[in-house]
Amino acid sequence: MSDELKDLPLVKAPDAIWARIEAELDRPSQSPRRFLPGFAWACAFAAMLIIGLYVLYRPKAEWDVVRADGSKGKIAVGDWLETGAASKAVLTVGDIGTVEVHPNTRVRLEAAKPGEQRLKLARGDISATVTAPPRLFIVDTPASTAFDLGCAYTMHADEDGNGLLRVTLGWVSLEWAGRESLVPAGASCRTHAKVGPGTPYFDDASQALQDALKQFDFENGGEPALEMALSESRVRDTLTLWHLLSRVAPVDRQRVFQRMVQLVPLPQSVSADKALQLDPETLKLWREELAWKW
Amino acid sequence: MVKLFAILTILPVAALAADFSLTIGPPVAVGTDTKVVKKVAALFAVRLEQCADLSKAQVTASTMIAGNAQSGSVVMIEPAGKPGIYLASQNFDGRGNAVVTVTATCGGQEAGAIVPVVPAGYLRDSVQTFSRAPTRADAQAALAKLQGR
Repeated sequence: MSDELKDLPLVKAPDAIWARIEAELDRPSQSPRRFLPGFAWACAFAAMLIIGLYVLYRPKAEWDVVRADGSKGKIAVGDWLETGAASKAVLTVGDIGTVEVHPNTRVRLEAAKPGEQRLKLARGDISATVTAPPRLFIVDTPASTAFDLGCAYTMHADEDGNGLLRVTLGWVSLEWAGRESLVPAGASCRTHAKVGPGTPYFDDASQALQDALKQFDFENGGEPALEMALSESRVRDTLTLWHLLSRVAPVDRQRVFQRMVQLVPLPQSVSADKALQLDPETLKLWREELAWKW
Repeated sequence: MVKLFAILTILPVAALAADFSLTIGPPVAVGTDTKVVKKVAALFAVRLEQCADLSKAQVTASTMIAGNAQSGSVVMIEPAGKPGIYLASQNFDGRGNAVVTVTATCGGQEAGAIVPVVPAGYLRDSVQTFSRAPTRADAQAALAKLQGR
């Protein structure tokens, strides 16, 4: 067989054959072309279906509202809710708690998502009860942002942006422009439109102490107000003094420190020098020790 | 001589036992950044002091409610997320006066506290601490004193 092949004459192929072969090689394959459009359409349809189902059944960014007359509704993110002189409403904060909106109050829902439930209190009074990890429920007022670290509190804000926070369970952190007040259960804290959160105090503190703090925080009370606050402080009022330590002028810091250790001896784990230098970790450690006396 | 020997033997043991104690404070003492499940009915916090091995420590509570036959484990003590710190929360309706007896062990040592509770919360100034487990008589006396306030 191989000998016979050797005997065959060699003939040159016509040029047209090579041209046709090259043309075939250059042409894209036909079969994937036919398959891909169908597959792509199926993918697109599935994606549209998934998106449609998500839009239909996604968790709504809104809270339930029950008004005092029993009528029910919803408040969506961006919506305002306003109560009249004789009306109030209860908002259900996802599955973590409730907010009671008292008469003559105006609130707006700012966020309603798993990691952040946020309300704006423009004016009026609310009572919040929340059972959730810290810093998940937030209330903005004109002069502060209240981060829930605990359970229950009431908050008031007036037309001018001044207000009052009163905590009944747990902790609340009031923050504004780099200023922070930590308010535990049984304590209150005023807020001022131009200053932010004031110095917190226990509700059973003397009226003289409460007045002195108001003067010190918002009325340029200065030395006389500070002196009154120091002299009126009890063991429990180390909450107030702990906040004052970092708010007084450096020249007064030693006096506040001395009053604090006079009321409650400095724990061995707390360095006096670092406390006077306002070392954040030291102050936190000291506050956690003092809290056992609050 | 025997007395002296007994004293010398017992004193160090007594001194060692006195080291372990309890501190009672408000619920907020568990801290601001501890992600504990928040207790709406939290009554008070308990801290174990001078316990060398907290992993072996145990804390229990029982309650005696004034004018009520109900007593026993109507106060729950649970770890608060920090070593040696516990949170007591109430299961009873909280309408009456009560005393909560807290007993803790650390190794072979015992300590305890009796915490008077009124509807407004626990009475910090009336808390009694012990370097032993409080007895039923201690609790009855505390409850009688609470009722006589």
